[in-house]
Amino acid sequence: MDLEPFDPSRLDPLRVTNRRTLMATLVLALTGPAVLMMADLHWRTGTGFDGWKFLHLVVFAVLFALVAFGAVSAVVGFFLRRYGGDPYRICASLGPDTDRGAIFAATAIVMPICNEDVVRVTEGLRVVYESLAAAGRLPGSDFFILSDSTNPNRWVEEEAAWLALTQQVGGQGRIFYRKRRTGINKKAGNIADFCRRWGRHYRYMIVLDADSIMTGEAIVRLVRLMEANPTAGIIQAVPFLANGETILARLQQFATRLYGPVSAAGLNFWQSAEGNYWGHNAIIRVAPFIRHCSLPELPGAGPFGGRIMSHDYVEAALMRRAGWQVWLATDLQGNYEECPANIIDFAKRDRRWLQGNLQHARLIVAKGFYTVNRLHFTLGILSYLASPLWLTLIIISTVIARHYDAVGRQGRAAAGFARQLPWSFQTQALGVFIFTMILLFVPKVMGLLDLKSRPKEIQEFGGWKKVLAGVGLETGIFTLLAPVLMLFHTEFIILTLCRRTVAWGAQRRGRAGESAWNEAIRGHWIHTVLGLIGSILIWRSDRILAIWMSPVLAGIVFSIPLSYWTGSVEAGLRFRKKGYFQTPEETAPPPELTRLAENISARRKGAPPLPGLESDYGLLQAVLDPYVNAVHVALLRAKDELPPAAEERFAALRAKLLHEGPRALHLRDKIALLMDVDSMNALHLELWATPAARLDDWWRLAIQHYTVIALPPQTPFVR
Amino acid sequence: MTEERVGEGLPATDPAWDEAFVRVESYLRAHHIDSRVLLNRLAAEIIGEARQLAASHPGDDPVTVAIEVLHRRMSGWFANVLQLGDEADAQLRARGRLALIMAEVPRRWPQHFLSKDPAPQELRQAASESSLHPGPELRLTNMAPAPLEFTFGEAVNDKWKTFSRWPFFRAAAAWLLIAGLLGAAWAASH
Repeated sequence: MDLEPFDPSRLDPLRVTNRRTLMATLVLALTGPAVLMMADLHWRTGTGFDGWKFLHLVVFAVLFALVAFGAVSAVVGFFLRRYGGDPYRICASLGPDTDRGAIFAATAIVMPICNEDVVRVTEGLRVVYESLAAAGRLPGSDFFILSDSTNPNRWVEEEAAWLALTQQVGGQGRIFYRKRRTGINKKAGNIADFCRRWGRHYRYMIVLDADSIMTGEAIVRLVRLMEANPTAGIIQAVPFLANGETILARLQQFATRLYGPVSAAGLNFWQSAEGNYWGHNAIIRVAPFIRHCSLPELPGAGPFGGRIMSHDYVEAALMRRAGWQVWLATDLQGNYEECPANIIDFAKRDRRWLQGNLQHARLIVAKGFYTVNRLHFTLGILSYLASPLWLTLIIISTVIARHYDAVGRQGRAAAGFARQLPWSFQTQALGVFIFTMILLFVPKVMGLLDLKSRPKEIQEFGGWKKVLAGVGLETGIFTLLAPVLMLFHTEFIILTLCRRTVAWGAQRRGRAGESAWNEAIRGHWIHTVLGLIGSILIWRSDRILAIWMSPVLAGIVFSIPLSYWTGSVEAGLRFRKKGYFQTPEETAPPPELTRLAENISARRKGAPPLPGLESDYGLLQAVLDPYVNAVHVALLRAKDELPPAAEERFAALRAKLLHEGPRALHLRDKIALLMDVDSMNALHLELWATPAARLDDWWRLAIQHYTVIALPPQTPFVR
Repeated sequence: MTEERVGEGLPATDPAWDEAFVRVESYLRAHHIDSRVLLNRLAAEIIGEARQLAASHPGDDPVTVAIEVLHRRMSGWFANVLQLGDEADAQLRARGRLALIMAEVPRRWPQHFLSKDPAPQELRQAASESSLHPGPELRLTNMAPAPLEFTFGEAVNDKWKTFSRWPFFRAAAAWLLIAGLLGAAWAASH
């Protein structure tokens, strides 16, 4: 047995080509016969090959190929894992006797954020910082919170939370905070801004999302992998989902935990050194990133032109184009992220990704990219285009069925393959359906077979009974949810094609993302109406088809209660209590996840702001609180002398803020004041020095936060 | 002592000065000074000074005068503790407040806050060493956008970066064979 560690710089291109062509051959070998059988079914209906049937066949072929690709990846991944793991994986480049000592490689752990939950951000960072400090083997690492927050409340809270965090963990000079005045080019621009300012200090950067958690061990291992492989430009780790509480979140984390490892191994099999970057939980070699990965603007206007929105795939392609390898670390432990809590938030996130991925259509033919990177762009587009294709397939199927019905269902009983195969039309149709279903279920079966080889993990999943019940429930619920997502994606694609762009807002996480009835009704009423209309039409055209399509139609018709229920924390926790959808991260959580939960819970115990003050609480603190004001002022850029007109404008805004309250100011005016050092100094002084009678009620209430005197006791003597 | 002389010399209660007292006390409390005794003592001292000052500025509101006195006292204390003198007043106070929270003065040395006695050496040292580090030293570098050209022909040729030529042709031949077999099966049966 070869015990030499894998050396990616000596990767055999013949072997890699063979792997890729094998994948393509297997997909073709599965898709070809299925398409042929479907074509034969059309043939046997006896109504000739018209445009509808041809279009149906094309759409079926594309969708079937995607399903086959997923199945083949899972099977390949399973066998690789079953027989000792892929020898050509980046983690295999570190031998078992790899040095366990300290590594002196300057590494920045960067967390770009934009209006995120500040408690989650800082507590997440605290856990990662402490875990890395405990590992004690990466002394040259620094942490950066890179904020593009536009919400003044979040911005001010971030500043204070950052200082508190550095104080509490002793991270002065190790944990940094940067707030950009304008969020040019969003997350990619934020990272580029970091690279331009401080990139030269560091050999590597590890990019975390606001909800990422990485253990110190995982970070050290990623750095060690980079050190051992000087040809690697990016190593993307595969994070597990964690901390979900709603049914949807727990379903996702259960499914990715169970089926993810085999799929990831399958991905690595054909991707090899042309892997992808997913935008977070990855390590990047900074120098080549600075040199080759700054995103250009695409020609034309949005949504297809302009600034590149989904930056990660493009950065991976640019890195690879420059000759650097991009790897997927399929078996790196201690690497987590969170997921949307309800289907509407899930769809909102998909809308951003969808728009970004559609923009990649132009990049498929950009000069210099590797074909695998072009394939990544194509698969990214197809992952969303599959939804309208599926809808098209349903509509065309209905039209064809209606047509077939109209001609009296006079099929050619003994035509086509029926001459060789003793199958009735119905049997053959059922055969194609079953074949499709088998391929759809292959990744689940492979995931279960893979789990079989890890008895300890079976227990951590709650035992076989719970696992199988979980798979059954997950399949049922996703069967109902998939058509809802299909409608969402179709709508988003149409909106994107109509040049309706979306804002990239923060994702709600944890309990903040719990669904509400009004939100579910607003998000899904149109689906319900479409579902009812579709059900009536299909029922009237072909009752058998309607029965076949009942799971799809049921998901759409009942999308409102389904969305509410799957986004409910209470229901999710009830499932957890009964042991369904358990993952090892729930039953045997790593210390980092436990600490995160404890810290967040402790932080949330504080009294919330008084109801009337909530909307401008950041501004309140920046003006009123001596320390928050001091931190805020210290972080603002010192300014040059302002022209008198600007001084007058700021003075008028300050007077308005104090005497009429924040509601009298537009958001941009509040931000302008918050960005002006002199105004923030002056407001702090003026507010505290102004008698209550001359302040707006809002400020009078705000100042009560700091008042020592309690209200007088409520007795008959007090009026 | 006649009845009229009882209480003479005591300052009359005045809601405006009560408000000023509460405001001063609240402002001090906002600095995380939690000791009621200390709060009371400092607030009383500030109000006493403010009342004297207000006597010469009768039109000024007590809250404004009291906070002004408090700020003046804080500026003096910060300048002394941080050994600074040339900064603008507002900047000095902001810097001083930052030093207070970073050196944890309200928790570690609350009794010395705004005290007229000299501050202990540890407090001075901790306060003057407290400075914000929002980022390491700047080392600016250029990050020019990567050029992109959109030419389909070039893109097709780029496939040889991903695939080795002969294994790809061999596989392509296999794909053609599969397609041919399926086509032949169709042709033979339809």
